[in-house]
Amino acid sequence: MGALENTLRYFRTASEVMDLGDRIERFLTTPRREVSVQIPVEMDDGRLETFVGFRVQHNNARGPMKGGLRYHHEVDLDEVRSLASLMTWKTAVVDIPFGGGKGGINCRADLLSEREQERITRRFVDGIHDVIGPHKDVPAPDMGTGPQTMAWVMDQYSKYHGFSPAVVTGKPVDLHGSLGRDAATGRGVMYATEEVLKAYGKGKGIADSTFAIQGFGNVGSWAARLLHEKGGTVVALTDVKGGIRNAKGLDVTDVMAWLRRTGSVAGYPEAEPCTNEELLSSKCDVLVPAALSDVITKENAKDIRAKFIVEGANGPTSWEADEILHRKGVVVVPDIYANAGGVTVSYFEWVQNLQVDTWPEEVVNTRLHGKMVQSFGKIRSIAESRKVPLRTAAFVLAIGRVASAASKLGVS
Amino acid sequence: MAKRKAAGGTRKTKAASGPAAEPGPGARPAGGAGIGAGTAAGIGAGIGMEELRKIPAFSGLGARDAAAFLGHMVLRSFATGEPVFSEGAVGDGLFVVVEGSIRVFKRNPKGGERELAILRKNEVLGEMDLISDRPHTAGARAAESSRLLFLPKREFQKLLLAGNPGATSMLIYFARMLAGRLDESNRTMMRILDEEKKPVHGSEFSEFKRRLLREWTF
Repeated sequence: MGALENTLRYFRTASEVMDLGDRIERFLTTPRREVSVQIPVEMDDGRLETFVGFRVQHNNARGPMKGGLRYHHEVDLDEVRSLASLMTWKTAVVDIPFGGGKGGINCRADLLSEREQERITRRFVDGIHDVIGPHKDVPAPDMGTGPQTMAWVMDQYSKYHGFSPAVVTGKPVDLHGSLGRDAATGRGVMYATEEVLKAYGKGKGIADSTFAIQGFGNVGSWAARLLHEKGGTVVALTDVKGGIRNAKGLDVTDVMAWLRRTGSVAGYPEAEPCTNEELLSSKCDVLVPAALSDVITKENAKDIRAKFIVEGANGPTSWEADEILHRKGVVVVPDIYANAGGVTVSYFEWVQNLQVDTWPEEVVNTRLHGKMVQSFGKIRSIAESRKVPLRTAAFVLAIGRVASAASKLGVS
Repeated sequence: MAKRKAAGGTRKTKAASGPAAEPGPGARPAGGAGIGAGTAAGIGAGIGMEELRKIPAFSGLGARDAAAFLGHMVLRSFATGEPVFSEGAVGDGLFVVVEGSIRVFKRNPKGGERELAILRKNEVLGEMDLISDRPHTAGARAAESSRLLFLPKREFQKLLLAGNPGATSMLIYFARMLAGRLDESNRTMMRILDEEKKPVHGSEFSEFKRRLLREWTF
């Protein structure tokens, strides 16, 4: 997978800037624990299926490990391991007191009934309940899982350890979830955009800029909606089935109504059709890739006309493309910062659960804003003082924070 | 033998009592059983001129030089396990393996031997003896019943002083061989140095921590 190679490249670049050396580098990249469990489950038709689930706990120097649970047929230990390390850097960039972890089950989530998903989830928790916990490792939703899955995890874990809503985040709002969690990643993308325009937009803010957004799922749709609310002009949108563009701007609220009726943004009447590839090269100030990884490649990087790229997705830019963009003068706001809004509000959810409290949504959003502003300031100051791109600066910040914590904890 | 080794305090003693000293225990007069038995030029060594020139170290020799060399060389047999020369002894000539194999080894300070090489047909040992008076850095003994061609150092030096072109070409051959070994050992040294590029003084981890906190704020 390209995304795994990209992460490794970006880590290495930062590691060289910091002159870590081989042994420290190995110390920081090797996961603390890797668990693999067998999950035998009776399917609805009576068949006995055996699934394999993983939990990789990469680093806990800064706090309990944190990271998603992914249900997907391509899940394997290598992928989970790499995503776990990415979580370590992401939690460090936004300075929340978590380490990094990731888990998953190799399965076709889309082909499983809800009852099968529940049994698989509960049996998986049976297998890992000893190694997770509110103060050990706190899972969250990822590809193929959602609030319902998290509710099962919480319930099954609580059977062993007593009432423990803080064992998992991304729960349904009426079951110890947090207000604002759903919009959190998209909102974080909007705040990141605001910050980068403030720093390098030459006086142009969101309200004076045009946006092209790839992906209209949880991240893309919330980012589009919030940018639109802030007065931004969204000129192009795509989802899996197709896309739309209108140089004069799209009414995002109206597009969302269309999507609810038809199941796609494609075919929206007040726009021209637009492919995913066309979206990437469309004329706009800010490009927000918020769908898949590896969509900006060395082949299409030269065609990008945006001045800013805000990475809503994980790993949308290949490392070769990253170099081309840097030479072209395109400012790339890296994923480990730009889409960290989700994990940040997961942290707020965890705090609320530990305090047995619920915060109003404004409090959640204000605190998220604070985190995104503070973190951007740090990244920017490293980028400018060391003359490196924002991505390298974000990795330097993350690695530095983890290394600093780890070195103070010691290894003896 | 054990007693000799233990008593071998000085080079001179060792050289004098070393197994390679003529006439060594393995020395035999050239006989009819030699490879080149019967050829005119091979009488002295039991090996023919052509056979001699097939040995890489002697390949630069013209026909006349080869005959001159053969006149000074002797074929010596060694039984399995019999020493050719000992570590620390000053050698007195060059050996070429004609038949069998020779084990080259270094003695460990705590006893025991570490094998460095097994030399087979047409390979040479003791080549340094021809140009240096340094003691052997390793010992050698027959790994099986073997026959070795021996060129005494003083005969080689006589040929060299007489301006024999064969002796000169051998010198060049050995110089190249040494250059090759030096190159290899330089490479080994670089590899070792690379591995130890960042020498650790005290705790590497504490040093890292100090550097991190000194150079950065996060």
